[in-house]
Amino acid sequence: MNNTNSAEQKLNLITEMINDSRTRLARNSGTPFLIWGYTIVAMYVASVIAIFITKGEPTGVLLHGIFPLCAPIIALIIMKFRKKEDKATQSNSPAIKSLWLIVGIACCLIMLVSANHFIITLLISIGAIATGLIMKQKEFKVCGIIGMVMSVMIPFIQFYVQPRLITLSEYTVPADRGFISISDFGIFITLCYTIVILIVGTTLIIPGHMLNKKCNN
Amino acid sequence: MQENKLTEAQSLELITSMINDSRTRLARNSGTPFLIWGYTTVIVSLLVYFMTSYKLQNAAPHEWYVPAWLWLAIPIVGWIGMLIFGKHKQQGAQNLIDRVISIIWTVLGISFLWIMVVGVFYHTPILFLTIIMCGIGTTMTGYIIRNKATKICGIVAMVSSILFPISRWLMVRFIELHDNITRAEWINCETLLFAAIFLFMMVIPGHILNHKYNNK
Repeated sequence: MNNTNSAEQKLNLITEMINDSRTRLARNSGTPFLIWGYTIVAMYVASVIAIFITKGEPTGVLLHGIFPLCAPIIALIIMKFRKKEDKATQSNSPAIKSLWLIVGIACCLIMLVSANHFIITLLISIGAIATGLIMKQKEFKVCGIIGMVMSVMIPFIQFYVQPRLITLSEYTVPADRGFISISDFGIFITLCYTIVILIVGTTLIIPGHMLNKKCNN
Repeated sequence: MQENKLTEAQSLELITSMINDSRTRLARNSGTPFLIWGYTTVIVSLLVYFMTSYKLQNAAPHEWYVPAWLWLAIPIVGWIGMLIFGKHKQQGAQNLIDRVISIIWTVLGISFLWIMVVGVFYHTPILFLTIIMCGIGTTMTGYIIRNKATKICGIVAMVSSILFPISRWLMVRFIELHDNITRAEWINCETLLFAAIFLFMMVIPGHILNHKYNNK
């Protein structure tokens, strides 16, 4: 390389390198969001199935409560065994990586302590909005805001629907409801988990697919 | 021009030093917002605690009163403080570090407003949530400006937020057995815990940051 490059040539070289790096980083950048999104959704679907199997009895809480806790472990294993080229092209800048690391730690902490799904979904939405603003991606911003608004459905169910369910019958005793037998407690948990699935789908899976489509084209 | 004679190594060194200069410039006074919000929250929390304690001692049983309106002083005083003391940070162009920190705190601030709105209609654990949110912001700031003390204070604060659900769990069991403390008194003590965590999470890193970067 010629050592006597002009200042203009150097600037052009640096600009070219930055642009190249930006394009390379953007490719497949939606994949980590898809891995996390689909893993969380799969675990919550498994939980809902467990609720139906145990007929929503509180004794089954441990069984269906364990699946969401497994989600981060499974997602991390999948992330570790991804193809090398995928790892090299992921969009996670240190800022986005640390953002999701901290959001993930906070979610796990809340899950272990109080299983407050309102806070968990709110934190995931916050992560999506911040990601959209940092990466300047409209999809994440819009989907994150929708997720944040949707998260209010969980306290609504908890403080409005649940007290009304209690007055209907014995809360934890399975009752025949058409083709299935499930308790009111089971219905309440299923409603909460369904909202979590919808929010995760909105904040992680939809923008993840949109980003991959946009970047890979 | 002299730049035309620079070698690749010299050019890279120049770019690196410019990036480092920019990082130090951004980190200068970065502790000030922490101090403004930290001191405001600690002082308001202590005021709430003492006013509630006074009311509890001087009111008839079951007629206790929490000066909830006093909490509103935090955003008002905080924003006035930011307008007065936060101005000098806006010198020079905004780079990625500055932009990311602004984004994180703006998103957390907006979500906090959302939590407050939800909290009016439903019972959301506000103190627990505030610590979690601010802990996330502090830890993120520590990661971005690469300051270990800020990171550690943020993580410790996030972990210590579990003391609030533990406190509620203990409250139910303790009050059943003892008559010498009421539910209101117990909840009022949580305000002290909140102030202590905020002191550790925002005031200490704020002073460390200002001391470290303003001496450079």
